[in-house]
Amino acid sequence: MISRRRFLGAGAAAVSSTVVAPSLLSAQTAKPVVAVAKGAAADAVRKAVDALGGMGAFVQKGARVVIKPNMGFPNPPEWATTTNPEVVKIVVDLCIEAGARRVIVMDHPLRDAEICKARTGIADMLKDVKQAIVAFPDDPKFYDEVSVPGAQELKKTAVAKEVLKADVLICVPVAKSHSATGVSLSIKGLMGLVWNRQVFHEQMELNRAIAEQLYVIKPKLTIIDAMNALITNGPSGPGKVEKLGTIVASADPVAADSYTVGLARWYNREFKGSQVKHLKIANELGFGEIDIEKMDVRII
Amino acid sequence: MKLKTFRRISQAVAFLVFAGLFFLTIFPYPEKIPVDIFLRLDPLVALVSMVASRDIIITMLWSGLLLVLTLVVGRFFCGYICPLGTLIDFFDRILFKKNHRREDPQAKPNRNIKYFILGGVVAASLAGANLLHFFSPMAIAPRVMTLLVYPPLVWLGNTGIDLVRPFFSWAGFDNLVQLSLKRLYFDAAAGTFLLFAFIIIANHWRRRFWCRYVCPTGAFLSLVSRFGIFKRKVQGASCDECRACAMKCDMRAIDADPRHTVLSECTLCGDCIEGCKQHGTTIGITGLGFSNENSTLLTSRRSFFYSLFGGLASASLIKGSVSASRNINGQLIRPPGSLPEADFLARCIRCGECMKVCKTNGLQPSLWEQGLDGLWTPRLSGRMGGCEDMCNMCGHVCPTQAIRALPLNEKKFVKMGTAVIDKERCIAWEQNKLCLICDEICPTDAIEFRVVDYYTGPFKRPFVDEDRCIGCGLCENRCPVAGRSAIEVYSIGEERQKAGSYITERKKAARAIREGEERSYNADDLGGGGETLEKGKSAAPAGVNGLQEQTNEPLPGGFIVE
Repeated sequence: MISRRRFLGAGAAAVSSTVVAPSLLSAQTAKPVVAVAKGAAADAVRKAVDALGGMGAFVQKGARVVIKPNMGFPNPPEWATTTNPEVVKIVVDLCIEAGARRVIVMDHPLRDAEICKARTGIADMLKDVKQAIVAFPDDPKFYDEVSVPGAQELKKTAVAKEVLKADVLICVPVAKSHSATGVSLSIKGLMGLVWNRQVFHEQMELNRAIAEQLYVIKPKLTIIDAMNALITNGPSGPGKVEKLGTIVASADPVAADSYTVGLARWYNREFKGSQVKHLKIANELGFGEIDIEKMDVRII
Repeated sequence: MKLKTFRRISQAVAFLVFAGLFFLTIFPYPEKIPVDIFLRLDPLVALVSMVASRDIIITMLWSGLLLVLTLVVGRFFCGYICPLGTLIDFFDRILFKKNHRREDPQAKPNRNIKYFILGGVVAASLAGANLLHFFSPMAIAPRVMTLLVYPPLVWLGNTGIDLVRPFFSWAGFDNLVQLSLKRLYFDAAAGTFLLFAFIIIANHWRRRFWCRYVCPTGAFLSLVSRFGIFKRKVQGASCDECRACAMKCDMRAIDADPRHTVLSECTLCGDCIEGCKQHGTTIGITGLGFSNENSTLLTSRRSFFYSLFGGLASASLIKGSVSASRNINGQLIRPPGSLPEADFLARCIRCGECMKVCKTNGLQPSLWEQGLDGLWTPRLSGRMGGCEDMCNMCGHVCPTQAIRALPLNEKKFVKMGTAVIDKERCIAWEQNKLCLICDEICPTDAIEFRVVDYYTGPFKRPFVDEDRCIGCGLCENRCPVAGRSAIEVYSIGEERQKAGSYITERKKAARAIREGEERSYNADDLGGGGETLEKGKSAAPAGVNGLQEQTNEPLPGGFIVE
């Protein structure tokens, strides 16, 4: 049975695909566009999204949007373990300007959800935005199990129902180091949309399982908060914070992550995106571009 | 208004206040409302906790108010306020119809049993044992709420929400779609259930059985109440000795002569007024008077000594036999700020408030693992929840301050124990898996990774920094290993201070934020990502225990370094 929302959504998608398709197609066949903006958080996000064709290219009128920031640690934003609330706020605003009917900002923290909500400042920032909901789904009933065809490690996983129901998923991670995966950017952050993460560590090859999430969770837009990057002692901090004052945005999550890897001095060293195992695997699986040379980088 | 109506209203209001404060006992702590104020009302709890711990408990002093009120008004608490009494009356009404129950009005009431219990409890407190968790309504009622009422209510609530959830979804109430009440689960609810079931079912034989025969708080109040200025009065001339009042009296406070009241038993409930066919009974101010009934406890030396020895025997049995709390396996972790064990046990009345308020559901009632002495006392179960770094509620709701009400910053420095890694279970140690969950969740950043050459080859493996670890057990909670966690908290280095600050310069230095600290990350020490690196760079014999350790912080295994 098709719900009214699905029906309308499908219609909107069909209409939009005829309109937007040429530009998207060229983006896929040619180089993926990576917009890099500097400046104050809100300003930089707006400029970066504009460089990608504006939020309207991703969010249709009446759309149901899920935004996935990192708000999974009960730390203040300055630690750069969680996404800067101002960045989340402007992304929400842009979605609403583009006509989003509902914006659900969600994450699934390891620590206590209520305390994460209070400490990260994101919910507080959004409390006056009536279309926005900040959710921390903390029960398996809010997740639906899906099989992951083609996966070697992650053969099935339970994904948040809201994500499966949404028209658009936008990842808004903070740029930070990670003591297992090297860096934690948008693709690593997708683990905040699944129910059982422990099993990634326990029964799977972690890096591959992370990449294989992209089979079933497909962000349409990735906006990386590299205003402050936590370059040591991630993901929980506290560690060394490098002030980059940069926003990296792309429709290609691998390209966005890979470009960001080259921005900061992780563990006081320099890395390329292809040196991060889970990004390399995601690239090999065809989820996006990893080589900066093959990206259309637009520095604003 | 009829006195009986007034009493019903009073009971309902008092119970609502009690239940309301119970439901408000939740994170974040409502600063302006002392949610444990009701539980601090029992003067016997005050007396016994103070005597047993040989200390003045400031927070309990307010129970003196009830003592003074009882002195002036009489034993009204039992009939008008006591939440357990209200529950007893409530269940009595719905379970056992009074008319169907026959009590021989001529039988001896044996009401002295509760004075023996009172004497025993006080005697045991002299010996340092607090037995009130078996008897005090202020321990039993909240514990019943925590263990037996609250979890099923939450379950029911969630079931109801689940039923209407499709409607929320359909109607677009997206903020309600993910509504779910935080569930609590508790060990050891059975003992409390049996005790409560006994309290209720005993009414089948005797109305207010618990109040008449057992409750030492009632006994304590009745010792005071004999000075009460409110008393039952019978117009001598009107009484035809029909004894209807005596049949009505739940407390059997009316003896052979219906004109006479056993004041120490009378809770001023007013049922006798209802029962009196001659309309000759009233309850009112009679002026100061001293009633002359004394319990045998006070008049008979033999009874007095029985009681004393009974209490001492119970205390010695609890403290001195198999049941002595010894923490033999080292896994008894008390809530942060708990007093030294002897003082803690002397004060804790096992009301369950700390478990109700615990943010993570980590505080669980002990069953027999700590013996009879530790029955129902709170222990921190890391596997169930651990202790949330940003929460200090348990100490703030503890009526007897068995857990100190520490400010949050102070509480963060309390070392409850130390986490120990079980290398045979840990998948980073045993299976070279890229797991860092203990590190990720640790609020004090006490987990370090070092590349260690173990028998499966060199790999990044977790270690606990004992100076930083506070034993909160959050790592134990989230460890992905099924069943017993591969990292568990033991009471190694546990700190229990009766007074003073937990913050020391040494601890501050150990826990100083490592921000800005330049650590060299060594690419050669890269832990493999799922693959095992070549075993042992050094041909030299491995160090002690076969472990070869490198010193620099290794780079995460998620990097590929050429």
